Amino acid sequence: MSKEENPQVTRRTTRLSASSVLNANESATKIVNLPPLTLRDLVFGEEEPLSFDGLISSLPGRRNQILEILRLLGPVNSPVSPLFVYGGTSTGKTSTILQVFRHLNRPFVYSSCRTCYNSRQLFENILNQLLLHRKSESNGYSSAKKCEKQADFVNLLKEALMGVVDNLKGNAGRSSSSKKTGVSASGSTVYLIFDSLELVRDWDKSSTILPLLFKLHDILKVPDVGVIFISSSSLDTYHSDTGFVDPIPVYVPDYTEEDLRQIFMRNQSNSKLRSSFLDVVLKPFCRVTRRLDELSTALSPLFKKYCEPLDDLGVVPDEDTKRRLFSYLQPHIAPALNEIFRVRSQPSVETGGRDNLKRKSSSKKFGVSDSIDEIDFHMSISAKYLLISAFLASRNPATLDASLSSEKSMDLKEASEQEQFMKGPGTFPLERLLAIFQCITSVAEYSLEEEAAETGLDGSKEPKVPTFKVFVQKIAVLTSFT
Amino acid sequence: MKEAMVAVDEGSDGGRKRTVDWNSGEEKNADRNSHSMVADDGRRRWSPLMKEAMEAGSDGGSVLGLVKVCPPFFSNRRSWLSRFLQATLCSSRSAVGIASNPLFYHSLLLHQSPLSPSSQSPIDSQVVHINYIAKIICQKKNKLASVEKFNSRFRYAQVAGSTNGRSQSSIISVPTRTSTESEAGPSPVAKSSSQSSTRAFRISVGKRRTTALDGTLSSGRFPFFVLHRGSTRQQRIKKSVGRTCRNVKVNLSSSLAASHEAEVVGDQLDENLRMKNFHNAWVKIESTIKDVLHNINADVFNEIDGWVHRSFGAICSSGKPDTNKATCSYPIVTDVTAKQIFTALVVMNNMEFVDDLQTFADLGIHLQSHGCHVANLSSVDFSAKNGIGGCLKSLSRQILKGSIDAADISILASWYMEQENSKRPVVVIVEDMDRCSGPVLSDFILMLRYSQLILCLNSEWVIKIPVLLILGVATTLDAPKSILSSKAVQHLSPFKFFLGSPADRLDAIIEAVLVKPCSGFLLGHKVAAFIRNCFLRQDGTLTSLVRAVKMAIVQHFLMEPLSFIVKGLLDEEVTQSGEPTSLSEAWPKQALDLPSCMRILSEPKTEALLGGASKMKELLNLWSCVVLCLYDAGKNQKTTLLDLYYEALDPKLYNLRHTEYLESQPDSQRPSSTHGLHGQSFRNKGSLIGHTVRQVRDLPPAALFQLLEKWVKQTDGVKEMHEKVKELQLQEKFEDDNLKEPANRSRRQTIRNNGNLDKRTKELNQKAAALISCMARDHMQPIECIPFHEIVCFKNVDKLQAALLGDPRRRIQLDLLEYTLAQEHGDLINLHDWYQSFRSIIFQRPVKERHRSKVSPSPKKRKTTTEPQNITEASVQARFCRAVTELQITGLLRMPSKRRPDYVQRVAFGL
Repeated sequence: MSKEENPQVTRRTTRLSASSVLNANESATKIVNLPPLTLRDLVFGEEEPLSFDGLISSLPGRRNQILEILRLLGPVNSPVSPLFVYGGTSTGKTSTILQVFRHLNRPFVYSSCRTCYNSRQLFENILNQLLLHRKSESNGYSSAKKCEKQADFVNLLKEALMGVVDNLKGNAGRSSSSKKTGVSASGSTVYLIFDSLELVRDWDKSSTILPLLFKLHDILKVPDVGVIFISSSSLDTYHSDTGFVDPIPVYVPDYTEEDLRQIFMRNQSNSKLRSSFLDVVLKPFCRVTRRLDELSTALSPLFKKYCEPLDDLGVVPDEDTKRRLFSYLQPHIAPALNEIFRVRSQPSVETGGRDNLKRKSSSKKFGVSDSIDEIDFHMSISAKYLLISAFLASRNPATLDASLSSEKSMDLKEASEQEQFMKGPGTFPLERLLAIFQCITSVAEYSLEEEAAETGLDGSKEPKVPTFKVFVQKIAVLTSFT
Repeated sequence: MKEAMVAVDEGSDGGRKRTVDWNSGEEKNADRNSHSMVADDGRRRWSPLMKEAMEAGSDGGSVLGLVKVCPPFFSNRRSWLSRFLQATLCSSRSAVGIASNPLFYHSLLLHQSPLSPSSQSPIDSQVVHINYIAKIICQKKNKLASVEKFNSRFRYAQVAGSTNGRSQSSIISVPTRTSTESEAGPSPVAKSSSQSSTRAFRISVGKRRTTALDGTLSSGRFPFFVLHRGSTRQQRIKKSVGRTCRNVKVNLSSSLAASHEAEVVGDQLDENLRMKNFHNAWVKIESTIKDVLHNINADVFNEIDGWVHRSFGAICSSGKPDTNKATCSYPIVTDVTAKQIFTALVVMNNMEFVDDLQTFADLGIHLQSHGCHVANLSSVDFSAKNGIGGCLKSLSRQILKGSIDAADISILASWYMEQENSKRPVVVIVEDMDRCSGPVLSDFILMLRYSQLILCLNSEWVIKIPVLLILGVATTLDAPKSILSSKAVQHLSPFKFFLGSPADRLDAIIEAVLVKPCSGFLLGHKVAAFIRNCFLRQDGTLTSLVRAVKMAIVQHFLMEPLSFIVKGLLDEEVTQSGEPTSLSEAWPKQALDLPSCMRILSEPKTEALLGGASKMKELLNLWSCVVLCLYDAGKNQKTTLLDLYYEALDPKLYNLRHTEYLESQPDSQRPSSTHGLHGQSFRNKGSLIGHTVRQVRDLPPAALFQLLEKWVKQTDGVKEMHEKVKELQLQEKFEDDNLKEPANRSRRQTIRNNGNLDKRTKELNQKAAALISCMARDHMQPIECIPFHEIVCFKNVDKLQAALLGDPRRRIQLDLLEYTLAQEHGDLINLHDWYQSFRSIIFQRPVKERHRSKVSPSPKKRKTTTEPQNITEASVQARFCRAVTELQITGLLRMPSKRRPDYVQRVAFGL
């Protein structure tokens, strides 16, 4: 489970859906007024909290972490010190936390530092949730409170928290008597969850915000608040000053192959077929990556491929069919393995024959364009020359410029070129680039002048001057390297 | 702003002076002033044309140099502009490049007209002004960015500027100040300071700091001049109508004797006609281009539209969970596509994205009309400087149709929820992905994915925000891989679409605009060569090509006095039957003096005049028909129409043709050997046509059959060729039947027939090749070989080149003097001293030398003798000011500060 799938808790009400369904038949232009948020929106908003068994089974391989977190959170209304949940990407940190809260049915405020891309967004997002404020057309999509300064944030947060906690306490008294309102939060402690904390390090004022967040629990001095950080990098990577108590770290390890297998086996209509597929595929893929998101993107099209020869997806495969399917799949595995590294982006792999009729000719063309030596996008000749000269300038040492355009000491050139190539591109002054560009163009112009009716680039790059020919060949050799 | 300026219109007699109060609300004057360069009697008529020319030739250049300089205003504006441009155009584009482009300034000045009476206060006028400049910049950069965007950027620049504590030009400081004041309540300090700083221009050339406040700037030793100086011939055209026309005729079509003084009255009428013709021609060309592009894109647009709705359906259906809550919290495990964003990669095959801006705008409109919410984002929105906030802001501004204080993806979610009933996909178009900052775009994609998942986790919400991405890819399909982070890429579910390649589009445009005589305007061979070179070598954009054509049209109608009769050519089809009566009239007598007439015409002159138009039309039709036939033949060998067009226009080649070069070549080079050559360059001039003919010879039967069908269609209505093609096609059909027959017969017979068949198809190929070469020889008469072609054909390539490419060297020479003078000073340069030395040097130089440097038109053309002192003083001052700003823009100078208003500071040393 990658940690990006995060519920935005505030936006979820069970009533909302009912109202939207009602409105669906009305005129298209009408703007739906979303119902106001209530305190109940701070909890997960399910009819019934997730049972413990459900919690464990919903997160394969995370049993230990769940137990640990539950232990740290303690019973209802017990004070809790800040938690720091960390682990690699796509190891289920966020889901674990959220499922735990779903199980506990305690109120929490979730904000991800990915969607809130600066401190103001983060502050206002938290305050909005606490103040049960919803951005809408009527309020001009503005936040409940404008909050940019950290001091303001602390004050406002304190205020809002107090209000919420008081309300929760009042509710707790009442809800015991009136049960029919459905779920209400258990306990009056509000948990603040900060997801993707590692991103904060890249913010403008990260040096002040991070300490603030880490110290938040101490600063607020509200007993009924818990702070949970979720991060993909460990606590050491935050340059923390010593002014605060380190939060309690909870490490979420990578999934094992067995965990992954369990995850991939979930919700499959034909478990036998799936398991035979995973038998074939999972092992080699796990050697490459254990990240669930990468694996699932890679495996999903493969599974489709795997099922292709089958008419009936419900069949229980016997040994024979397994073998047949494997031989069918085998040629596709290796490329898919490479794709994981190079990131799958090839289009219309899974679009298949949907509307390929028209694209067939073009896709053929695309196959060719993969090879480097053919450029199939339009570029004016000057631009090409400029690119070439930039390449030369970045690859060759300046001392080589003169010798390249003359025809002596080829060996030396080759050797130095090799060496330069190994070093990678270097920096160069603009003047040098222009000088080389001038050199190339002047020779090219000269040749063009001779034959005015010359067409494309190929012609113009074949001038009469032999040295330049060598020059161009060099360029060609070098460019084919990259 | 009570600064007064003296406007000296040197074109009018006695240097009429006009005081203009720029900012105190007397806008009528200002307005007139901005027009004053064209205001005198008959000249006004040309002002729109000149404006067109300005716009067309925006890439620098000097021909249309209506130099108008008002020193303090000018320099301030420049300094503001360079800062402004730097702020808006980011690092990727060179602000300096634009700002230093002289024509850009000219057009800026030309566009001052919005300082119109309608705007009440000076503040208003300035706001208008800013908008206008922003608009111009948009035009110049061919960006379709909204003015709003510039405004917002601009405010940013203002804030930055005000914190610098620098003296601000009044243009900069006014709008925000007022807005912030109104918000935050009046603070006396800020107000007074803003007043003082906005009311004064700090740059002056006076000895001491001139008191700009009291409105008597002219009381200094050096009055400020507003100059109007036409640097080239156009200026003269705008002078008195009758006389200029004479001049033009003498100069440009030298055949016209200057003795037609009697027809001065008619000239005015002619000129009106020319103007009208120009508009007609351009409107026609523009609409043709638009149609062509629209047709080319239509298919792809429909395809994309289909894709959008299909994927929208997919999203909706996958958003429908099995109502099982347990599965729903795990959307990814079961359903990969649910967490991916459907992405269309629209491959442009063009490194220059300028042409495709319009395409994407059209695409946006197209999708919008098909029920999508569309936001068009460009690489400017994805700059590293503004970060993710910038693109979210412009996204929400476009989608929510209102400015949002702090943009946030959750806003989008609430908005979509509110729009519950209109279940429509949200399409985000990123125009030029290759130029976007990778990290920002990656963040954006990750965030967008969120917005889907936020709702996805809840079982009851069937619809997530169905965001679809459309990325414009300029280079290859690998581009997203290299730009985006791996995390972002794996969330894309890409599909690809191809826009027509630029070469194809270009061919289509050439076919519609230039080959088919759609507008009564044609290009000569050399001009075609110039345009072709520009496209292949330098710019490579359709936009610039179209601009070049426009420039050519402007020049043509401006220079060719006889172009008023083009109208006759425009009335198409009517003249088909050869009755010249449908032409407005027979062509006037002057036409006989055209060189093409003198050279070629042998028949009685009156007849030539009468039938000239229809004959030309006929010839043109033939020509375009043959060219298109050739194009059809060469199409599958990748012969571009651009090359073919260029070659078909060559008059030399046409003359050569009569010496049977077409005949001899195929024989000298055996077909088999030429086959491998295709795509390669052709050594000999004009061999492209010959080559195409040879290709016809080698065509396989099926292809030949298709080709003939195309030819039949192409030659429809052209009786000379249609018959022959038809005949050939019949033969072909006959052969075809024969071909099919053997298939039914026994095998032996087939084998026997085979040799026979080969022979016969060869024969057919020969015939077809002969036909096309015959067509090319007899009917493909280039425009420049047709009598009277001067009327419709633009040949003056130098003019065009000067207008389009400009002359940067000249500008450098101009500034060099000033620069060397600046070298004599130390760190700080007193403007007054500097100017004095500059002035003295200028005056020392003999008149002859000054004119040689092409700065001003030759002395005879200008009426310098009437008041030499005044004008030179003014022009010298103008030159000085321009050079100063030029130096500032190159980064060598810093403009006067508050503390030392009459000193500039040198920034760079020892260059």
